[in-house]
Amino acid sequence: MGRSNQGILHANNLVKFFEEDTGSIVDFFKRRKRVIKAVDGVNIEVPRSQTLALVGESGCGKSTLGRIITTLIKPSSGEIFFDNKSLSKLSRRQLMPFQRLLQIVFQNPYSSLNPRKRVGQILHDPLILGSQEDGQLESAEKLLEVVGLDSSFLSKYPHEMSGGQRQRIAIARALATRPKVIVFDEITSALDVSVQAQIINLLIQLQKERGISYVFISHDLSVVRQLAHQVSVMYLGRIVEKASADVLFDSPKHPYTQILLSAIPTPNFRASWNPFSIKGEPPSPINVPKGCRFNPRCPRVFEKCKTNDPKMIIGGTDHEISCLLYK
Amino acid sequence: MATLEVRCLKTYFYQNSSVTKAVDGPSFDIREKEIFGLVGESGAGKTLTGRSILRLVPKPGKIVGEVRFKGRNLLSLSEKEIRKIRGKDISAIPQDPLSSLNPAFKIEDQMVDVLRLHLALSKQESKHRSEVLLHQVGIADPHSVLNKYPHQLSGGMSQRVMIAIAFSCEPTLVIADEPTTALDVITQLQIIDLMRRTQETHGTAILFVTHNLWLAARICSRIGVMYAGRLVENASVEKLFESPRHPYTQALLDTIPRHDVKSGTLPIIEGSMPNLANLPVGCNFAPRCPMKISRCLKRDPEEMKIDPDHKVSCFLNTESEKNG
Repeated sequence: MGRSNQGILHANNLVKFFEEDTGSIVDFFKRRKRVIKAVDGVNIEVPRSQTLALVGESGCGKSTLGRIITTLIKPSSGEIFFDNKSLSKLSRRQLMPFQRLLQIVFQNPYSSLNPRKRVGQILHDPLILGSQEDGQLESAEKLLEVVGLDSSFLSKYPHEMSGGQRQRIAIARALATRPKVIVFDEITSALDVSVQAQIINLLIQLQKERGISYVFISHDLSVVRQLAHQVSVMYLGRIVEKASADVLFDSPKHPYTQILLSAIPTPNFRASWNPFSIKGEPPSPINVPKGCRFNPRCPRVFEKCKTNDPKMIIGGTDHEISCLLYK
Repeated sequence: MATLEVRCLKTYFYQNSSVTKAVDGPSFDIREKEIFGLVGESGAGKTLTGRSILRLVPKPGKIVGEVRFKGRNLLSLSEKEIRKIRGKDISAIPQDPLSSLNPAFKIEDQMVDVLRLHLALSKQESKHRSEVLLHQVGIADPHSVLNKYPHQLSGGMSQRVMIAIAFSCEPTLVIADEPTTALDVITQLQIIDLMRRTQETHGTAILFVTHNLWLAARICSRIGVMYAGRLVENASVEKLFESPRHPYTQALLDTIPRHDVKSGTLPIIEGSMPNLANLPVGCNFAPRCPMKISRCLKRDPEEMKIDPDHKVSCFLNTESEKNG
């Protein structure tokens, strides 16, 4: 694609199919596998020093996408560019300097921190990696201070801390390598509301101070609203709508986005709450519906949706939609 | 008339020399056919309050106080008597449906069991009724679901099954413990919609335990706010959201993000909830309270009525009453 890219990280036409045994002996001997289309043709662009949010129901492929762009898993096809350098054809060794700049923080800090290591040990190696940036070794104490913890935590084990503190350590570990992009995969969903607000504030402050770009993966749109500059809505392995956060929240165009937003309760209990109703469950990524993927559940479905697969089209400034209603 | 009256419910866990006061004296009523919300952060004791009503508290927990239901104190019934009430007059919808269904039995067995025990139906009758119940909770093909094991169902689907089981014996009260927390917003909406419709047709009262205040605002008529085992405020939805009187409620309402408002940084509640085995002297919220006065650190505030539909446990309100 010929256009110049302002974003720090962008990816074109990413596809990730997982293969799985069907369980049938006939299929086994015929080498037939079941294909799970987790990510199926996605373009994304992470804006510099800003936040791109990926939202959608569970199983829509947003976590897989997060792992692909941090090079934790290889896409089946498609290309990833970091600072306009392609990462797709690099060997593992050649990738290593980029991986330092691309960090990820996972949903569950109970399982993503090694239970046998003290915080000091957890942060030690990433800090050494981080010193490649300018030859200066940042101290672990200072790093803890940045995430709002004191140095007494250095000698603690993960089990001695609360969920919020553990998530802060996971964030500190990601920061230690001095990354340019951090992917946050559902990091607030296991936290309590009062802790959640603290973590959101911390992320906003860190972005201001360090100019790191975020990819914020979440199904909680109330949290996304506070952090995101750009939002991409995913459905069944595809991005169905992308826009700047204000545009998306104020005037969503894709029927799926409209339903998603209307389904979230707000405290305006005096106004009536008449969310769009939606039938059924999301189809499985093994059996992707023909035509538009959303057509079996879409309240505004018409004939063409069942046969034509919509492409991304421009729907306004900073607004792209993939829906046949807007052709 | 209240369906359920809870008076000074205390669930303490005695271990070695320490006492963990998980539920520490909440009193509230659940009126007929209403949805009463119990909100708070995790560890506030909301789940245990729900479980204490059914006396489903693990050892070494001890429950004292009074839970009046149909003129009887549930806490003084024999184990045999309470078992007749569980699942029939008072049933429960759990947070995580997959771990509440038995993985080794088909859905059919688990539904039929309840019906045969409480309604004394025959095997054939209860199977038929199970199909009707599943149909009512929006399962298009009840027959095939009945023949499945829990692991073959999605989260939303198994929560529908749990709701069908909970409403199967036409209970007077359903205790729903975070029934939608594990689900997506769209599935959450479907489940909430289903619960409301079922509740309306059956005339059931619901105790709705949740940490999602915005959801509670939408579906409950009255809400109790819990903090460190105590019920700190208890009011109608209008009163609670438009004129919250407890500093904790006020802080909670400010700190939760909403998708229709971009707030930049959010106001936070400093500190964390006290250890329930080592509670502070005075008001439990005092160490974190931005509005504390010297009295808060010495004595426990008692619950006071601001008006018939609004109770709060905070000294600030006595002050304002005297001055005003």
